[in-house]
Amino acid sequence: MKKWLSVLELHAAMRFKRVLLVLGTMIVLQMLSFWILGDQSNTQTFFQVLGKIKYGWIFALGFLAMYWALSWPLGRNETYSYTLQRLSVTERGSVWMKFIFNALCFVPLVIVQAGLILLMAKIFEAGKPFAGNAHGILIDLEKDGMLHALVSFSNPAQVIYRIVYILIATACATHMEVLFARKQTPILSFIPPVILLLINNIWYDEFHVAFAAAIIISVICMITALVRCRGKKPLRDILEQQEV
Amino acid sequence: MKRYLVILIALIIVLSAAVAYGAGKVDETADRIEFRLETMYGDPAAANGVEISGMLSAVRTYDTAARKESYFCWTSTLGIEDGKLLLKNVTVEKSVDYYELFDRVAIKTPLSYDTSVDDLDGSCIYRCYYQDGTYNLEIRDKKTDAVTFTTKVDSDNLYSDKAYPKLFAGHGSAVLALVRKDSYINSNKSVLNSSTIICVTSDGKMISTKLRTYEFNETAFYPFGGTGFIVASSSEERFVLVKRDPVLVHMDGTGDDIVYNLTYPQNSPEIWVFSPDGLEFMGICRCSLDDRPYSYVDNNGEEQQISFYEYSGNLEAALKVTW
Repeated sequence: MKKWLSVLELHAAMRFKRVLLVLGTMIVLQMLSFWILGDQSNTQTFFQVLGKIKYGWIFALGFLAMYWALSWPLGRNETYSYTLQRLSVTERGSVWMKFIFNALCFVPLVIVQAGLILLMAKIFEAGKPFAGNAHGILIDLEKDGMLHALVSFSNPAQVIYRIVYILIATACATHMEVLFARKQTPILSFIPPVILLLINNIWYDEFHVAFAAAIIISVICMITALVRCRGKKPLRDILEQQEV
Repeated sequence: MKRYLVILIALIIVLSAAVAYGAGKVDETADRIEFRLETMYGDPAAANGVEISGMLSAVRTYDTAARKESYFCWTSTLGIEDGKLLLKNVTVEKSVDYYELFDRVAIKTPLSYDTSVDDLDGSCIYRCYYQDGTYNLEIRDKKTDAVTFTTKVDSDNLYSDKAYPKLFAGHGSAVLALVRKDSYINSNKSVLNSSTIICVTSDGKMISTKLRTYEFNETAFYPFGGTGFIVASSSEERFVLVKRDPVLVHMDGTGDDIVYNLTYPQNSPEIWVFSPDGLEFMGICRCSLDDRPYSYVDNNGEEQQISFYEYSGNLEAALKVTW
């Protein structure tokens, strides 16, 4: 157990700053667009303000940036790579740990987006006691597909949808990372994120087929990533073998 | 290295708790959003001062789990208390779907049109009724009940069956407002329509006034106390903020342009409210299709806003009990 935890800690240490950078940038961009682009006159509803600030596309940018943070090679950061290779875990096991860590990074991305929506709703409501009443906010959150999926925690179907969404993103990020490490281009794993973003911003009313396609492709990506890794020999032994 | 993982997990827990709390707060209002004032159908001719009676109104109900809308229908009166517009005497009728609601509204189409109003000085009664494809306008002496004047308007001239005539009574005169089929296409390929207003004085004199043309999808007529009435039109799509240019038409058929630059969605049903003596325009009470505030225009032509609760406090209580 401890060795697996060590791998997870190592992944966290390697990518933590990038993940924070992505989250921070997304928060700043969302709030800036809310203050600058959002016409907050009394005649605007919160739904209309959200439409103006294009929050869905900013989330899309954050989503893609998170892929970069999790899968793009670290360059000269040899310390972590060396430490990882000294651990007695298999390469396949390490990939599973990457998968778990990636999931831990996509979860806050979605939560931060939901939190930002609620924060903006709170600010909007506070500034306009009539236009931004709680009733209106609720209706706004209900009638938009993406908002509904983001903040309707009382709806189990939406919670499951969001979990699957995160798992698809996680699987693809893991596949990308494995292939980038091998200096290959992970074309297949680019497809599901694009589908997810289109579902979020364009196809949210008729997403079933696209979502099913994203699930299938992400499963293929994850299997491909695992197959490409050696599952029996620990990384330490492989390294020693190479040194010999 | 361990601290990074701990921070990440702590971040997730804290953020999740905060967002779940925030979303929970929003969801708490779910039981209160079950009804929303959707539309109101009242006869402006009945706006004889403080109350408008017999309005057919409806709320849009919203099932937050199924994300499905339905309508709830009731009759009510609109009154003014302490300067606030209030719905009173709410009688909930039944739950209806949209099409049933549409059928109910269709009651007010010309086929069943028959309305009469007293002249403000009490000397005569103006009546307008629909018979054999024709609108009949008549004036009856209130003391003798004798018909002193009658005229017919061919219904073929009507713009649409929804644009039924509106009958308003002033001091010694009545106004029958019609929208006629005088439509043509202008250089911008927009359909233009014109409105024809027929004013009838108590001595039987009839003045026909053609208003300036508008590009409009709907036209509404509202009594303006005892001095005339307002024609309002709009030209944009539903849910688009539009400006309306109402025109004040005096009883003698002359017209003044009073431009209220309002910004509100078209098809947002509204009731124009007057002071008890019928002479002072109190404002427009408007019901919104979404969560815009209910608003009205004050006597200076400026748009004011009132909250949902100010507007419909009684309604909420009545519906809560009946639901």
